[in-house]
Amino acid sequence: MIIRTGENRFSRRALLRRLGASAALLPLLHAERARAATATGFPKRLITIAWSNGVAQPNFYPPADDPTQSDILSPLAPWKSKVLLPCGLDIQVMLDDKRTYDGHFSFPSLFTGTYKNIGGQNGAATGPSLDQVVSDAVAKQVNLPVPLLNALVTGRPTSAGVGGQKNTGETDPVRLYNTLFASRTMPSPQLDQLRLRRQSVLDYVNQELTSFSATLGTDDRIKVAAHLDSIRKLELELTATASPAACTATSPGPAPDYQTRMKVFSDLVAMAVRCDVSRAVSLVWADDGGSGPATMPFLGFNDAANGLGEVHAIAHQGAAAYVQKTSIDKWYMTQLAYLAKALDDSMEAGGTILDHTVIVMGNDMSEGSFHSVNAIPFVLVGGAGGALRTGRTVKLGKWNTTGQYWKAGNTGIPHNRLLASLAQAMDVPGDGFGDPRYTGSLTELK
Amino acid sequence: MKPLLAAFLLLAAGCTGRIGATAEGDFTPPPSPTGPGPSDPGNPPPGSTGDPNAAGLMPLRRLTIREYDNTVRDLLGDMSAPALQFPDDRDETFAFRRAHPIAVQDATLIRSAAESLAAAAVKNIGALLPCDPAAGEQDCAGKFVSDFGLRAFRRPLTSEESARLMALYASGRNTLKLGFADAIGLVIEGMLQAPAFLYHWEAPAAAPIHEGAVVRLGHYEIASRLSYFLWGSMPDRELFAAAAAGQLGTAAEVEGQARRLLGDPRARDTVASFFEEWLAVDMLDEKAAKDPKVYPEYNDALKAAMTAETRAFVDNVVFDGDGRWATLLGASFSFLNQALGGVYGMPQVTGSDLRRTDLDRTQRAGFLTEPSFLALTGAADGSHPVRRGKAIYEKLLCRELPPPPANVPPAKPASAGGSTRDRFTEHDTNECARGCHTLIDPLGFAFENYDGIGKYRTMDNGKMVDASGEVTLDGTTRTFANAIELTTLLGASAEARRCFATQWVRYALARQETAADAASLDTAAAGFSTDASSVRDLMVAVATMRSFRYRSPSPGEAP
Repeated sequence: MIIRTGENRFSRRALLRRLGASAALLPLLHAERARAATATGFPKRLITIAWSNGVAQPNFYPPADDPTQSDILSPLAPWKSKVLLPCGLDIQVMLDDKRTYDGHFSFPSLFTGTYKNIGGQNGAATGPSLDQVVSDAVAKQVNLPVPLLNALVTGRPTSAGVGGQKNTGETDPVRLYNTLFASRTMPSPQLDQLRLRRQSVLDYVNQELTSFSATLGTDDRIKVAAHLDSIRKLELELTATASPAACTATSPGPAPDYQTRMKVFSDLVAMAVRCDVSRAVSLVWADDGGSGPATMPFLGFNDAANGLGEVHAIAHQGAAAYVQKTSIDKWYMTQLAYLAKALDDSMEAGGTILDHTVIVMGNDMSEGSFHSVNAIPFVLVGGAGGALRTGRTVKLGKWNTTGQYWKAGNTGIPHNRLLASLAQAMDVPGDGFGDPRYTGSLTELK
Repeated sequence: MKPLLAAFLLLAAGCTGRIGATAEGDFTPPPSPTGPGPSDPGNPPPGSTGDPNAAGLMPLRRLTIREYDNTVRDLLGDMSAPALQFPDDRDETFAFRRAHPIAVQDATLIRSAAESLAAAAVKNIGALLPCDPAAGEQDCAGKFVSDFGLRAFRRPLTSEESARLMALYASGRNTLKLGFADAIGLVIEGMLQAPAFLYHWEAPAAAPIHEGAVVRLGHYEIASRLSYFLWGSMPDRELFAAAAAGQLGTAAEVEGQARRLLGDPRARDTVASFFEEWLAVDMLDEKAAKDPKVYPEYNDALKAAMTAETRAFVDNVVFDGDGRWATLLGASFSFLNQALGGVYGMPQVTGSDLRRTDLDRTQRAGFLTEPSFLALTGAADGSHPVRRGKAIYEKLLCRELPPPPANVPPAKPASAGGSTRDRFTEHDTNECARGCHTLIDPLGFAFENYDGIGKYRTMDNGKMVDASGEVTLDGTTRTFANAIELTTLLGASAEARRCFATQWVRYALARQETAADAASLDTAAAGFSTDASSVRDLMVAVATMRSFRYRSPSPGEAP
């Protein structure tokens, strides 16, 4: 069991010391390592998912407490006891910067609760995303092979590092598979030699970066610090062992189109969680700029003459194309249901994997003709081991049931509180998340 | 859970003392340049009001995908282009490629590339070794580190850097039990992940050369700036020799090298890449999806041909032609294959190779009427005056739009009747849309003779195309009947030429201009100020300008 505390980070020298510099001992050491169990007996997992172009709001919100009782959310009905729908959350940090209609630029804020304008309509995060914070907290308990699984089906990442810098996401499913599961296929002596070799090089790179940084100005040192942080994370990953958890992993086949990519990435995430390779996941399903996926021919929209060719154009039409938009939104809920099912089908001590997970899916805007960052659609599935009381629709702040709220103004509830609640549900304490102006959490979700 | 930035910085800065504090005596700086210092501000033209001694910041940048692949090609002879696996290096806040800070995923892929490059290098290690290891492996490793290291880090190594690389070599031999060649491979693997290789910062750990309020770049820094600007790659032997001899200190010396570099084929790739990035015509795949029912011919092969056409055209004008602005915007020839011939309505063009083809001069004039630009700025199902106008307004005229207002209803779809122009004109009378669209749409309407992939048309949705409009250029309002007349006006405009020069300055500096670059912008613009100026002259002027050879000290930088 590897418990990491504070600055006691792994180094090649420490490894060699522990080994008595004898590579022959390595397999033994691996065998001794076991999973760290959490206090509650099962590991918790977080999966963030971002999608875009808003939703057909009148067809999204359920009339009553059943969180799946709407056309769009109906694909989740088999899991309705595990769904939680918080209605009426604003990306307050953007509203307060007068960025009400910059929905196409909200991904940096969606899971960080921070915002900084960097010219034109472009925004950037100034702090870490929820998935990063959770993965860092987990890494203090257990050394997982991939502490943060960050993948992009299309579009730009929502995941951000400590300083708010974008965490580049994986876009290639085969490469992701190799990252997650390669250690299961390589013979142990070869793997140990590779680890030692990489450790030597990373040790060298670490020294070079540290001295390189010393002569630079402040802004440049931040860039090098991000690089150094990445190198240290790679060093940590080298010391992780493959999980003994009983699980099967199969390499994904070719994913030539958007539909297949969606399925393949969900399969990989489910495998990674099941095999306990990763407990924090960031997924981007659609580009916040509105250009990916550009079209969804598989839903049968081919009426370009009526502005119904491009997904983004459909969203832009607002009510005039709610029929088409609803089928797009519903398709995404089918995808969410697919992932939820994959996790719910796996039992572990105390329930299914889904029971010990929270999936949080958030959109970049309220509605496609409006582009506003108030009334953001969020869907939660899984209760993080009972930390969240699921099976409910929770109306927050000034939310009302007309389904028109996104036009009526802001609800006054910063989505930072959702992020704080989710961090707490993942056993990361704190009374706020992201921008310090927005304190508190949502006790209503407990 | 606030950002831990302060702790982060302390961590980065606090681990070791400043290198310069101990290393100064160990590094032999290149010979001091003779003469020109502050008295050599480049050559801002008479009338320039900018401070001739000022220079903007030089933020730390790392190699772009293109630069990385070119560099390993020139450093190792490796043509595998491993950086194509790296995450996209487009920066949405900047027109040109600019790689982001290195996140875990980037570091992982950089490591993979280094591992495969090193493994390939080991197979033919003799080609890289400056010595025979049979005569002494340790000595040969040391010589390799200093010789190859100079080319990998693009400057001489400090003794500390050499010592760390030799320690890596030793751990390869002793801990990993590698043979000589494999241990050299390990050293290469390390170098390719070192900041001195990955970042554009070819200053060794010597104190920066302050001259007045600015820092003069060292000769090795100039060598790399020149080669990366003009070739997108590392310096060649001759540039390294000039740096070693301290012969890159004056504007005249830099100009001489710039002209030499422009004679190399690598410069052609740079000009083509500049246009590709500036006009974003390499983004047809991501940014210009088309409705297959409207444009069934718009497939991967056609998209690739569109981008290749623009590359071939600008390459021809700049290097085989007169290189003039008016030619780039007015030429009635281009490079077509059969697929492009279909778009141009020229079925006589056959084959998959691009070949020079004369075009109907009443329909086509230069790169703005090429399908790559028109498809990129077109809609999925037709033309798009807003996107086209915005591109002209921002990219060709360097003008800035006010931020868009909230809640603008979209223009009506074609099924509502009326031509594209009718529907967008109605949209523009909408009170809240007027602010922006009256600025850009008239420029976009000029291209109404071209559909969503650039096919020429005279009718749109059953109505005659009206591509006329007016534009204010160089302070004078001019009218045009169509895109051919608009591009002619742009081709004769000093304002547009200056904007083009500004775009090259941004490309060369990998950042937006600031007030401190005013004189440098004037220097660049002066290199492209007449009808007879060539893009090659402009590139030389950019290389000699003050902000290319000097920089402001960074805030927080050790003095």
